[in-house]
Amino acid sequence: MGQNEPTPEEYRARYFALKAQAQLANASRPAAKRLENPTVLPPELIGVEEIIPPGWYWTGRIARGQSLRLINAEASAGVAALFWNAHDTSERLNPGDTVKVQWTARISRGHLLLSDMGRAIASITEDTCGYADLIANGTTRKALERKYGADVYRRNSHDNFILAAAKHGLSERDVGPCISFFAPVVTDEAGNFFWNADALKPGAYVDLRAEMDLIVALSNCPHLLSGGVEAKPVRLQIWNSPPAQLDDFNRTATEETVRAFENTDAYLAGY
Amino acid sequence: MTLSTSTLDPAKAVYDQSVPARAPWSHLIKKGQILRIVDAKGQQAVDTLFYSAEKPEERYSAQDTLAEQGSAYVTTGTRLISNAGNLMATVIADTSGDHDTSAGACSCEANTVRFGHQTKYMHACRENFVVALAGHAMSKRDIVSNINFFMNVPVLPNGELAIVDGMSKLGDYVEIRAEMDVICAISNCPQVNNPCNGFNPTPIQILIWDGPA
Repeated sequence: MGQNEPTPEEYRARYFALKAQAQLANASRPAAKRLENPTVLPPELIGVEEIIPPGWYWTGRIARGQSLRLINAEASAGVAALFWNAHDTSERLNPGDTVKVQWTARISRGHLLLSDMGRAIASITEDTCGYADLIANGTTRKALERKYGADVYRRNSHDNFILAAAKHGLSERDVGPCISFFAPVVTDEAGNFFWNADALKPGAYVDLRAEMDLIVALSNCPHLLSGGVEAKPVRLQIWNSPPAQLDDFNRTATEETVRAFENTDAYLAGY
Repeated sequence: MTLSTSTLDPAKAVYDQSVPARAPWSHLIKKGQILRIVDAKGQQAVDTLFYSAEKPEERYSAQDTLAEQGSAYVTTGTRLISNAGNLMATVIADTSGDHDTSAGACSCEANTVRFGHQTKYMHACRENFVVALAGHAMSKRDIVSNINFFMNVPVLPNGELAIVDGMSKLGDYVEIRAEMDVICAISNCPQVNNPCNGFNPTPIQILIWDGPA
């Protein structure tokens, strides 16, 4: 506590100024200038390509600067994902910070994924679905049994994530809250959740550019709020995306994202 | 929101302790015991996590809790669900209304992103959680999205999400009944960069009762 400690009124003014700036930035985001990722990736750009079967998981590494594309050809109801810093797995995706720092629960193209260390770990460079959920997803076997009965065994994301983590020497303690892509969860004025099924169109895809070397776990299990639909196969491609320029759409979106990248850049520079 | 009061007598509590502004706290709550968190002065966010005492890798899951409830806020009747899908605790009284469990806890690092690099050296909830959990052989990797009692974070139909002034008044409380033996870790939030504490962190009171024998 220094002599120049701001007053509560000054803190309040700053908070609401930041909020107003973020609302403007979020409103103008779709019109912002950005690189167009190819709709269909040329084969020479693709390093890994795989189909995740319904109910299954995929895990692997993505090097900084490479992108992960998820293609939801048959409009499956959500793909859950976890991300860890490949060099220090105590650093991982933080859904709370991701929504709070960007002032929105509707994380999509132009937004970042943040770690618990205040760093940008991935950029969403494309998202033709427009909905990712970071707030709610029942991922456990017990939740599925309560919802659909215990007579049928269904694969679930929590067990998938424990399996994926195990293959990197990690355990259940490393499985934190996730992000679900292709998950149009919307709230009404009272905060009740609705699944906006109309927002799921066959062929939607998401591009995530890794901003540091990452370990990724993906679980192709339907979101709990999707109403019991069967999972469909989802395609993933890891591809050589163009390096981010200084005026990159994701890096420069808002005051907050600039600072998140400053933190990432300092870390990558060895500080 | 579902407001409700409690008839429990503070004189019969087995534990009654004030937690200073900005401080961490943790305690074992046995199955059937009831925890009351009192916002002694009003407008004070209380960041709260639960871990199974028997198997700490089982812990509170905000996402599972909200998905099963089907709505975004914690209030009377909310069943707090673990990452294994089990019922850990139930909110049985709430005099103030919708509590957040989406926005997580503040940290020195997230503060730099949200409020500027000059805020790096301000005490933060995740610092409190690391210290509180160290006493239970856990570390940063064990921190997950928490409940923010008395913190108001509306999630609007357009997706917008922001912390607004807390609605809790002096003396408001929540009560939580443990449905398994749990370690409860609390950070009495020190944040002054947003409205969650009315820009003025204050003490809270924590009481525990044995359940009906």
